[in-house]
Amino acid sequence: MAALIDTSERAEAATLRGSQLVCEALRDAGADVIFGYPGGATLPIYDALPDHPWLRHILVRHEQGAAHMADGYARVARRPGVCLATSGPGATNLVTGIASAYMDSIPMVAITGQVSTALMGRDAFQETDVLGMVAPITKHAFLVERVEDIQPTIARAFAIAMAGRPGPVLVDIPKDLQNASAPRRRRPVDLPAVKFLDEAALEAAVALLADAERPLIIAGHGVRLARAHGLLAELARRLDAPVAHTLLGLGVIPEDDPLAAGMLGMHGVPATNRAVNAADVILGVGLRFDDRVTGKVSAFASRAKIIHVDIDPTQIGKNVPTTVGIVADAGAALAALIARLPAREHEAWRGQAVAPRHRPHLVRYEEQVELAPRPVIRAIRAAARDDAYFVSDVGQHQMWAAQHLGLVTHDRYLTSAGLGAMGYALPAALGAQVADPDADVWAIAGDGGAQMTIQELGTAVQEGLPVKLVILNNGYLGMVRQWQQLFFNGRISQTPISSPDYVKLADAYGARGFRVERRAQLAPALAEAAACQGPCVVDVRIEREANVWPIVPPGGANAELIEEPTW
Amino acid sequence: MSRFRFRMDVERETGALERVLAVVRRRGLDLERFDVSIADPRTWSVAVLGRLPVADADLLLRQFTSLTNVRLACIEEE
Repeated sequence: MAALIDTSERAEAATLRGSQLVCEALRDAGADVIFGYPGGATLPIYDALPDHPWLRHILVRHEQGAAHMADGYARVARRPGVCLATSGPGATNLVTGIASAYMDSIPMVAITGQVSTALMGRDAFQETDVLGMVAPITKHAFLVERVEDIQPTIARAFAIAMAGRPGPVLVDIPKDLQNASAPRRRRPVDLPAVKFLDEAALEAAVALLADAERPLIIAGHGVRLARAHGLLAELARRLDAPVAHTLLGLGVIPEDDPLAAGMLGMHGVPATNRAVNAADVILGVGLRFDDRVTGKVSAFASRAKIIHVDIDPTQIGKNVPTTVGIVADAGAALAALIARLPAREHEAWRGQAVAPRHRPHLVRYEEQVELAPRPVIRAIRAAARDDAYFVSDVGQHQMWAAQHLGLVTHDRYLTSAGLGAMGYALPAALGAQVADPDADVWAIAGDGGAQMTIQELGTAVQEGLPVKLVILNNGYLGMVRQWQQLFFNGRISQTPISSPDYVKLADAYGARGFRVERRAQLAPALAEAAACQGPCVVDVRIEREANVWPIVPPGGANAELIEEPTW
Repeated sequence: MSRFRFRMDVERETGALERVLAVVRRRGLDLERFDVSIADPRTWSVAVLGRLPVADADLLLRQFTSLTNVRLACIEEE
């Protein structure tokens, strides 16, 4: 039996190997799970892991999966996810997942092994300059240069990952330092807290909002990260202001709330996009105003003065002209505004911005085809528990899920929104399941994205993670095909894609598999999937040519959106 | 386009200067000079001279100050 490391006070001064210090530092930081894949430059860490049984290691099938799992874990556990990879290809395979976490403000600590210090810079086997590679996609990246620095560096990495706007931090540890020894010690990390709450800016915002006739709140991921849903709802009621949301803002307000205006932007609700252009004051909270939200910037919110609240000062005024910028945690800013604002009523405006949406053309289309996207998404929603997590991949199904899941529980939609990394859904869903083992977790993917990380079914089976993967299979890289049809003269180029037999594939991995080709098969298959004790795959053969509506043409104004055609 | 000089104290840590340069590149500063000297054993003194639209200067300064290794930063219009 392996001897456990003595972690008592007496052990504080003990000398440990660098690899043991990595494990100790992870425990000190509150980590209990590592998503990783071993290799030559992390062998000492893997040798130490059995002595640290409080660290659960999830063996992935590809390092991209490790990073996405750490991402999904972090979104649900609300603390940094940890991924571990060896040098060279192990580190480069993490890059997509790190970039996705960076774009979506997800706290993550990525630990990479590096070749020994004596070999660095000599193009050694499996050597890459991972620091150079991840500099633009991390909040910070460390190269540990002394074994004594391993513990404080990892502690600092966790602090940076969570401080202010969350994000990924990478710690690169040469192999010889993992084998070297140093005293174990805990050092508190002192990072400046975000303390900006500019009174003058708050007063300016209050003046604008109090006088607004057509106020609109746009809420983003920052509201979810700050867990400020209640404050958002309270401010919306105080102002009687409709609340639109971004893709990652899905779940900031229940979709059946009378003030919920829905998603805005490229595939947003038409009335909401029009409301943005009719509003006289927009309060943007915890969002970047990225191009998928604004469309053509010069035509965005042309009648509105914009108040922008964000914890990241570099976002204020970056993408849209801002009348008032408030650098603050979303919760702190919302609370301060609630305390200062009088109650208002804007009944007519509310009725205009939160208009009921009738889609007769879409209904007619759904009657004509066997398996249209919207009924499939609604059937998934119906089969899942009320508080289920939905993790979508990237593409048409991502937008169908965002449009039609009708979420009424906070924070149940996970996706790679900023980077748009295909292959995200299955591994991120596994990470979510690890963070909340009793949760009902559904991954929704297309047949393109599913095939990018389908090998993580092996991880799901090995770890007994009962994630349900629903593949909306149309035999196309559908979103690209849609753009080719709409914006490239209908010339289809390299977007038809074949798939394996997902039922046989699931079976080969030791998971359950279901195929749905007819409407009548849908609900029974999803019910069986919902009842599965282990991982399962549902291959739903949706209408091949189905498209996402509405759509704002690339570079176009949101008002120029194209709604569904007549069938 | 105006000419600005950004001065900052940067912790002497692996990758810190690269991160400053990455911000320069991402914000499209038309770089004329990048001077580094040792202020003390733990700190580099960095001066960045370049041209960019006036409206972008404040944002660039904020992006420099958001880097973990940048301790102090200021801007001067030349």
